[in-house]
Amino acid sequence: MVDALSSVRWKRHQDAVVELSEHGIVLIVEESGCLQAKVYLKRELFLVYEYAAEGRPRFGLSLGLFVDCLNTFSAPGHAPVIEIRYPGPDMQLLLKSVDSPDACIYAEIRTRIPETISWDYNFEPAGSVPVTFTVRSAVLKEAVDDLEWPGSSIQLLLQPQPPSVTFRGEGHGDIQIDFQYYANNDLLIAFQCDHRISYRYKYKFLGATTSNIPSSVLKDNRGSKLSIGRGGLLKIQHLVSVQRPGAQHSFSDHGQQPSRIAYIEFYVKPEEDDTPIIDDS
Amino acid sequence: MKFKAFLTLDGVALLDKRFLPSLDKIGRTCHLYLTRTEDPATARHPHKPPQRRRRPIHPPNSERLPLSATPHLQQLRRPHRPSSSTPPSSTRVQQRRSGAGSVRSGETAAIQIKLVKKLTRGVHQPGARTDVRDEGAEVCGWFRMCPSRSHCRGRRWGSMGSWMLLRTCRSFILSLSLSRSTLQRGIFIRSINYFLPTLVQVPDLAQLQNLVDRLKNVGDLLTVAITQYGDLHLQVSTSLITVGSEFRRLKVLGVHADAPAGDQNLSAPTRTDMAIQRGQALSVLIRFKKLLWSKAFTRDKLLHKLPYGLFEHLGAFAFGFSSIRIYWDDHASPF
Repeated sequence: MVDALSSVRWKRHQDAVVELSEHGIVLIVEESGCLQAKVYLKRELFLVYEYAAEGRPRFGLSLGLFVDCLNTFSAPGHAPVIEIRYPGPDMQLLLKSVDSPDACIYAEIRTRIPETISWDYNFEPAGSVPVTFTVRSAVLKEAVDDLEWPGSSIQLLLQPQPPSVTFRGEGHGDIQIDFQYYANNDLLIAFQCDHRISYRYKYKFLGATTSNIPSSVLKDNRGSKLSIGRGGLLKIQHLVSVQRPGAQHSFSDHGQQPSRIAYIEFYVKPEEDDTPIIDDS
Repeated sequence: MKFKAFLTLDGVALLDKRFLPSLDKIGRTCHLYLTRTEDPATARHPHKPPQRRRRPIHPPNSERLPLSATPHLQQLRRPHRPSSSTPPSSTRVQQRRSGAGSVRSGETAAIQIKLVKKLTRGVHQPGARTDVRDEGAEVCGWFRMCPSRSHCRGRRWGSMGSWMLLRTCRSFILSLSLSRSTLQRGIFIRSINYFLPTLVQVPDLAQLQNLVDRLKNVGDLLTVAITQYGDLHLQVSTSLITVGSEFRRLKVLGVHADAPAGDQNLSAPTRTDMAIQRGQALSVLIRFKKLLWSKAFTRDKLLHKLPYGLFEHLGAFAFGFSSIRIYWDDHASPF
């Protein structure tokens, strides 16, 4: 869980909005109206999940403090059972370890009334066929890291013939990274695109989507799914394993169950002055 | 004589292996606080000589006799050591020398602490000193040493009648009895009043230190509270977050109290506050950057060198003690 939350923490002091529902918890982080990240913690991830609110309560908190606080609960070689409650007497978020009656760690995090999310959106496909590709998370991170060198604007180009994905950076120098689907489909796992499409994204937002990918994601050799929707909205999905306390090895032989996965989504708006290149041929 | 006390071997061992090494790293000036009660303490170094057998004390106008001394603690340790190798015959020697009243039959004399008046060389008025004596082995003589001089000077050998007795004696110059105004405006009274002579044992010091390392990310100030019924409570609190850890029913050394019934379900801060109100807890506030020092001190000087005795893990003791010590030492500006 800490891994999942840490992956959307790209700066030290960062606010987040938490939304509770009968399906689980969603944590939303936003930056400059151009980048938004969501962490989905489904109710199946929790040992016990009790929900008795009307509507979907939302509250704001400091993501940095929340992560540091959760880190306080964890000890090397020990996965604690933590009870999380909301609201407390003063609308706090209350956390308490419940492993031992004689030793406990507790925390109270002050919450605030959340700011309105400046851009809540519907991610809609750009055309009749969704434009999407899946690449190994480690490879994606490496590519984005390499793109830091040229400059602040990164062009993402997808073309069906030959099926390939191109990252191009121009600035202090030029760099182009191509993923050829047929050449090495071990890196580019899946590809779906029926027309040529290209958008530019600010590097600092693109970099934030991969800068804190948990090491467990890289070790598990997972894939990250990237989709381009209407208006060039880029959606990046990572999957993070969330292990149940005391059952760390239950699924090691059979792969991770879907219910043990936390979904992380990033949405990046394209640069506004960019004219998309769309070729329907 | 205003003060006389004996330490047992266990007391000497505690003093030698635990307290004095700690004190030696903390400071040089030791405030002694001699009382008629069973819980005397030093103010600057809030420890009592433990397990005393007998201590007639006759302060003229008060139940307290506050003094200060600047002994070199390494020298203070020196005379304690021969006592551990005291042969069984020493009991007989001690009884013959000091009379039946000073040491009970069957017990082994170890260290005697005595308040005396002595004439210092070059000074006409006798000044107060405390003698720390080790009377034990049936050997060849006695010597006396003043800590203000080198080790070799001041040593001499002599005979004590037909019995030859090795007697080591350290004399430390004491201040005059501190005045009431000194006590009231200084750290002395405050320390005495707030000192909680209770030590608690933490089962896993590494875990505790790991926890403190992580708490450091949350805030700058750490509150440490210890209760007389074995609660250790750590808390970091800022305007946005409060994070704490509570350990209950830890092993207690020193003053012990029974946990009140009915507060088991209360939160850790509430339990601690109630204990403080009852006078059964001590709470101090420490800056993390000072705690780092005490942690290093704990690891290097206590854990590695003192793996003996009643408590295998002295983490909480040293941890709390050092923290308290840091806090009171900077009495003008605690932080």
